[in-house]
Amino acid sequence: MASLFDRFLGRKEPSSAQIAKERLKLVLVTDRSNLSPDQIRAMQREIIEVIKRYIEIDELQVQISVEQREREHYLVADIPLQRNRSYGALEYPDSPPTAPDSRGRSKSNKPLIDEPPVSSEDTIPHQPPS
Amino acid sequence: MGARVITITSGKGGVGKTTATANIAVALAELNKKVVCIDADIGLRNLDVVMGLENRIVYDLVDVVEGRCKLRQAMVKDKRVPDLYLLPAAQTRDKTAVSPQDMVKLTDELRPDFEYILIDSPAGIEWGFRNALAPADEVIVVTNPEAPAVRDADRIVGLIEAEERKIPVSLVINRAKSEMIRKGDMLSVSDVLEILSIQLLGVVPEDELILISSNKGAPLTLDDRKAPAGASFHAIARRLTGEKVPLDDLKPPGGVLRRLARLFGASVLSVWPVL
Ligand SMILES: Nc1ncnc2c1ncn2[C@@H]1O[C@H](COP(=O)(O)OP(=O)(O)O)[C@@H](O)[C@H]1O
Ligand SMILES: [Mg+2]
Repeated sequence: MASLFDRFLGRKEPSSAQIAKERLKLVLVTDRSNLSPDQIRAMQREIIEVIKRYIEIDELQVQISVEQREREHYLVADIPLQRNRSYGALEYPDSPPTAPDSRGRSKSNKPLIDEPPVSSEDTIPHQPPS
Repeated sequence: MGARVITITSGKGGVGKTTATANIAVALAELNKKVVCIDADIGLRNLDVVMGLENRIVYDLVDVVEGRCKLRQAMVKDKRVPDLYLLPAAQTRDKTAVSPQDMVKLTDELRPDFEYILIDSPAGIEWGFRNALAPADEVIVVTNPEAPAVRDADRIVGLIEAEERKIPVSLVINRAKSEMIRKGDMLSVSDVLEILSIQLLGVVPEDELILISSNKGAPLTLDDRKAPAGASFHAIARRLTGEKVPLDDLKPPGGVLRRLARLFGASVLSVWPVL
């Protein structure tokens, strides 16, 4: 939130407070859910696998994040559907209207997948198991 | 009516629970409230020293629980303010000398005669914390704007929320350094609130006078109303009584642009009504 002003004030690197905040948010997801980062990544992979059994999705576009509203956490999945070419009548708008968020006052939408990598093999969390 | 039992806790040690308990207690007493503080940190008592009452202790909490004296005999009166008492912890015993049920019984005995019972909780999430939590009507969680303290505060809030009975929790952010926050080197008030998502009761700045006051055994709220931390603790006490006191405890130095930046940085506050 302060980033615009940070730039205004001539700062480019994230401040140590911003780093602390991001690290805290991440560690609290695992503290509160009692799941390790590895387990969270495994869960994401499995969720994607299950969805793929039913519908065509572009895995690279999938975003699974943890949202905090007040003191509750929500697992939120953004899964863009692939256009169904063989079904011409149904058209997906190019940019679907985004619903205004009315739910929570303190919302931190944090992608789980783009977090600082724990180890190098974890950097591409969406890779389907080969 | 009966007193409100307010437990001051934190998870992490050294964040300012004892300092907060002493200063809020004195500030409430100066508002002519009848106040008693209980040091629940058995084996590591220091509320007596911070309040400057260590030389007048005869009996302690464990003596009361084990029936060696009457509750009233163990209570040390602070003569500098109208109606403030300290029930000291035992120094030579361990925490298991007192049970959560003992604490409930003890506070129930005090309730009719007081308006506020403040319990200074020990650090940690074990026995001593359980003792301090058992009789609480409300909890104040103290934290510092740094990652380890905030993480532990989150754990404590989780534990309190997991209790069967609903206990209101509010937050005091202690030792905030506006200059460091401005430079982006310390979590801001809104950062901490965004993460913990609990009601903010107050922000207390880092203040050297706190150290001097505990050297002297005279809580800052006793006389020094102009000291930044003293003013914050006074504001917190007034908020506890239900008064709406605006949150301008942390006045940042700097020009218009910086103040604007801070305003934006703290915008979460607008949806977090102060108690
Ligand atoms: N706002 C403050 N500014 C400066 N020093 C503080 C402040 N609050 C607490 N301290 C210091 O921090 C130390 C720990 O405080 P204390 O109240 O004993 O913490 P706790 O009871 O949580 O262990 C003490 O030395 C105290 O003087
Ligand atoms: Mg203490």
